[in-house]
Amino acid sequence: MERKITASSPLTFFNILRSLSKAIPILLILAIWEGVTQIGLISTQILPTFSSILRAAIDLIYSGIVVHHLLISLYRAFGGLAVGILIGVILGFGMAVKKQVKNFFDPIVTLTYPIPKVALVPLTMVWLGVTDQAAIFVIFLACLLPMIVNTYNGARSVDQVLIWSAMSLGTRERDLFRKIILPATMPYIFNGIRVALPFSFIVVISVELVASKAGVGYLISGYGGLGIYDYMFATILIFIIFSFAADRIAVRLMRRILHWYEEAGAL
Amino acid sequence: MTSLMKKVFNLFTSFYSLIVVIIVWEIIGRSGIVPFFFLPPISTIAYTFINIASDSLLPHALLTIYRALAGFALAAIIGILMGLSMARIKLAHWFFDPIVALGLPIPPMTLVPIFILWFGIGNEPKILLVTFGCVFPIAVSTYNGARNVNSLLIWSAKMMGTDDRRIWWKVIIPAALPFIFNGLQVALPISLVVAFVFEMVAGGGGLGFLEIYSARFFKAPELFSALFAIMIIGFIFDKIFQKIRSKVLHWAQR
Repeated sequence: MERKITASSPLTFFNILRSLSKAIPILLILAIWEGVTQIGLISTQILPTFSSILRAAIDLIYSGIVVHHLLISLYRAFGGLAVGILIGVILGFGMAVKKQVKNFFDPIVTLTYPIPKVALVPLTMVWLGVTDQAAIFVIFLACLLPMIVNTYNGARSVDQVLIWSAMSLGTRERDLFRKIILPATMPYIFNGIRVALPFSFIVVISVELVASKAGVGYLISGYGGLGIYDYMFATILIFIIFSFAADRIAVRLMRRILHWYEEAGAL
Repeated sequence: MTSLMKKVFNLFTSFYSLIVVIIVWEIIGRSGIVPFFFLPPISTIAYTFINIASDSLLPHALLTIYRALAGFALAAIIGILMGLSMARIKLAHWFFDPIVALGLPIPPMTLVPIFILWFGIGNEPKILLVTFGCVFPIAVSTYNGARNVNSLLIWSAKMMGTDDRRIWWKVIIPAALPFIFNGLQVALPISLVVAFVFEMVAGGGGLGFLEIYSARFFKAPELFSALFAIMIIGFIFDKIFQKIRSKVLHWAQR
């Protein structure tokens, strides 16, 4: 959980030992899991053995089933996320710059912020049917609000001194946005993306569990409905690992892009 | 007089967009450009909302609120204890840190089928999944708060002879309280979402069930009523939480 930037530490015996000790609690739980289910203390109908889940996961990856459904889910998640980022950033800047825009959208944003966007799934089902567009639309709405709020807060808190210095050095009005305001808001926008990214994963799974003909959520509920629990657990495991990796990759990318920003390590 | 006019005008500009949205909605709904079950006029929805409020909406809403709040309360107790122990006890940190790091990014909804398998489709799986979804953000915020307590405060308290137990109650917990509240604030909407989605997927009453049921039978006004009900509940939850927060944390500057 501690996300300090550490210089890539040399692979000494001590360091390996330390990272191993970090994994011990997880390994302990997995060992108990495997033991309890192998003995039969807990029925494998309730909790499949961990080894059978791993075998199922390998099978799912090799046969390409999970890849197929994962790509469908990712298309929906990233499609909604991309549209959400684009429109959220535009609206956020618009609200920060123009008072009329802020007056119009502010009450709508405050009123809709605390509502669960997944509640809109049945509505989009009625509107758009069980389609990719319906899923993307809900994901877009879920990602939109954190993007608006973060962009707005970021653009509002741009250090006035930066703007004044640029102006006194003769920066033109239209360069001001590209050279000062946009870069200074970047950390906030990235923060919004970091909030919106898990939203997109959560919503895509929810949408697919409620109603869909393909995707990871469909696969999970399909295996669950058929009672093939080791494959169901394996699919869930693969998706969890994937969403975990996506967050890490996003953080890495943001740090690389924001290398000039002092607090990038805190992202 | 002019200042009063200005106040009224300011009030108007602060929410006129909602009025615009409602009017446009009503016009589109009445004009028949879109089918009735796509977008019923908002007046029809309001009429239905009031009509079914007492015998259908209220019991379903209470069920959803019960599940969300029960799970939330459980998560608050577990999460705060976990966070505090992680911050102060080495062994607890060693054990819980990897679990929290793994558990935090898990979308709770992926576990819906597993919880149905383990706990059935009654109240228990919903409450427990809400707990699962809320516990990690609360634990992380509590941990961050309790870990960053100014050492000077603890040293001064110790120097003046405060015993260990009172340091917990008088120094560490109050200092961590703003962070704990941040975690709770993040978790509160999660509790509603998880309860709601679980009801949509698994049924068993609640607003989520009411909404998906109405959608299946193309009862659009009922669908929108359920949607507005969960909106209102989410909004009220947030407002009440803010009130409690500013009451409890009146001493902390935000």
